[in-house]
Amino acid sequence: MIALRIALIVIIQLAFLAQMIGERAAILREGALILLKTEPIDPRSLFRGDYVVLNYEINSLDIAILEGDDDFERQQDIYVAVEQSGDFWRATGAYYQSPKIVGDQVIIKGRVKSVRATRGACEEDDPFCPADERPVKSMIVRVDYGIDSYFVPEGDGKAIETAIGNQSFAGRVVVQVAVDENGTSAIKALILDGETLYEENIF
Amino acid sequence: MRNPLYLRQLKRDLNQWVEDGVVDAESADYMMETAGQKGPKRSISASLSVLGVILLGFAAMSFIAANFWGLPKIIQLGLLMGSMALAYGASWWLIQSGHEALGHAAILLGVVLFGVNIMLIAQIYHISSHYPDGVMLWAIGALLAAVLIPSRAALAVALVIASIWTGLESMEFDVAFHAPFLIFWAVAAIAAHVLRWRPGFHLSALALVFWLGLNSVHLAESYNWEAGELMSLYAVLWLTVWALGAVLLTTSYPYASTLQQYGVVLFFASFFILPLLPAEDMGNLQRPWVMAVSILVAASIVIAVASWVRQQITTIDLIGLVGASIMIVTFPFLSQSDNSLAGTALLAWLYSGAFLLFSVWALSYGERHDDRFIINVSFIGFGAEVLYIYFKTFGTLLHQSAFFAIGGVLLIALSILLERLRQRIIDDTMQQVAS
Repeated sequence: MIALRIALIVIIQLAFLAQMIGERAAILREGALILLKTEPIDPRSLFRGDYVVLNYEINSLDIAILEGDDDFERQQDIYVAVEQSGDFWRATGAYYQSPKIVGDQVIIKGRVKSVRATRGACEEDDPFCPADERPVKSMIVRVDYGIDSYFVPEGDGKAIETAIGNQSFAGRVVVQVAVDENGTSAIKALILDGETLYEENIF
Repeated sequence: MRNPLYLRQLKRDLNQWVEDGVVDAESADYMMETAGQKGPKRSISASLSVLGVILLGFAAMSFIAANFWGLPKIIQLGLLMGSMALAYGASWWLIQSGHEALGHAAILLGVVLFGVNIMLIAQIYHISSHYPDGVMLWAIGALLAAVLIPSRAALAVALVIASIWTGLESMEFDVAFHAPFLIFWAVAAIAAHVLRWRPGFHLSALALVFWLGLNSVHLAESYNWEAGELMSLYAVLWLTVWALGAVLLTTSYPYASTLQQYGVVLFFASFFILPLLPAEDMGNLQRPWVMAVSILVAASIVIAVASWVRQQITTIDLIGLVGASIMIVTFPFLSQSDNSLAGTALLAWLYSGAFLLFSVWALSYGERHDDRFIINVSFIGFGAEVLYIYFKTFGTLLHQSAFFAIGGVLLIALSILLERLRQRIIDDTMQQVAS
């Protein structure tokens, strides 16, 4: 009886893990591939060894100039439409729900980390300007797509960060991201100066 | 098996008592036999194996952190998943071979390696979105092991990990009311009861208090409650827990006294803090607070009255519980700036007096139920309040001196009266026995 119970635990726990792997493998295998510009911020994790923190252009969105919905709240799901512009992909719209795909658009799902709104027409403290009538000048939304950490072998993190952090490398670091039909994304490759530093295989 | 030194001492004592004629030889043999069979449930080997598992768990985590990219992913995954399956397999073999404690340590290792596997997969595939989900998955896996085996160690790990999960959801991701934790907690608490494991009961109680603390802060923010409103709600809640524990004491529920002790210590803390808060922290006392506090007060009073009717608690206990509820609920109203008592020394004296009176009642309650914990908490509460009054000095020093003097005389008079009553009851009982 105890053997059966232990076997059941092993099977269920392995199934949980297999589901995690299967989900990521499916994104890497079948997801639409896009190239995103990035720049570095923080170095490494004390708990998880070395990793490079990546800050993409699409992490910071000015909702006021994008198509779609506005007035996002912190921790809300956000669906960002990206379109190819030259070599890279840039945000064109932000939505509460996944929108209908137009042309070669790709939709990436994220979560709003913070919202910062600035309004025009009159100042915040202008007593004669009703708050709800103040037009939004810009609404900067910070978005987390779950692709901001890239784990590297112990010792490599600092070196990559130094290379990326050097101004002469600015704009030359690119991440290839795979995005599935639900908008879930996964890092496929880290490219520096057109040369692939790391590439993700499924296994 | 008991400590051999203890058994040797017992043998010497029993020989002496047999010689003195206090104990007969047959009883002495029986005592030696039963004492030899009894012993600590945990052995040092079991404890060492648990400590070993902790080290192995950290070794595995460091291994992951080192990001061993010399190996292909499939090998990395196979290695760690295989280790997990191996740990569970070893647990089966050890339990079958009669090494129960080591078997459970191996289960604990399996649970730890399950978490390490989640971390490894997150690292291999660079998953960083909503990481509390990974912690939740780990907690579910641990709870599964705790329930299916059943394993106390896995249950403890499950409760600790689940607390981290709810903490991350609330603090890192601003989840205002993290209800999924309650479902997890309910299953874990039932498991602790089914396993009849007291530390498990404590862990589940502490996990719930932690969750309550996190979520009530968010609740307070969403209703614009101030600290005073929140503290008064806490106080009435803990009083209700105490009343519930008092009622359950008369049943066969094994954790009634523990439940009561949680209620006592948390109530004392809330009651002590509440009057210390400034008047502006008492809030607006609007409808949501009034409703919440009314429900809790009604619950505590209904429990107290129902148990008094069924003679589960005495009239003094009923007065103590109901009186404390009323004092707590009225304080935020009396502290409002439009009230003439607000900010006065009279209000401070009133609540300090009430707190001391409550400590005395709690002391008598603890004495009557032979509960050292409640007795000690009552002494600590009484002492803390006296020190607070002494250092704070409401009104003048002469007022303070008079307060202490009157209180001291009243308590000594009460003690003399109670001692006489006790002596009279003993005398009456002795006379009845003699006749």
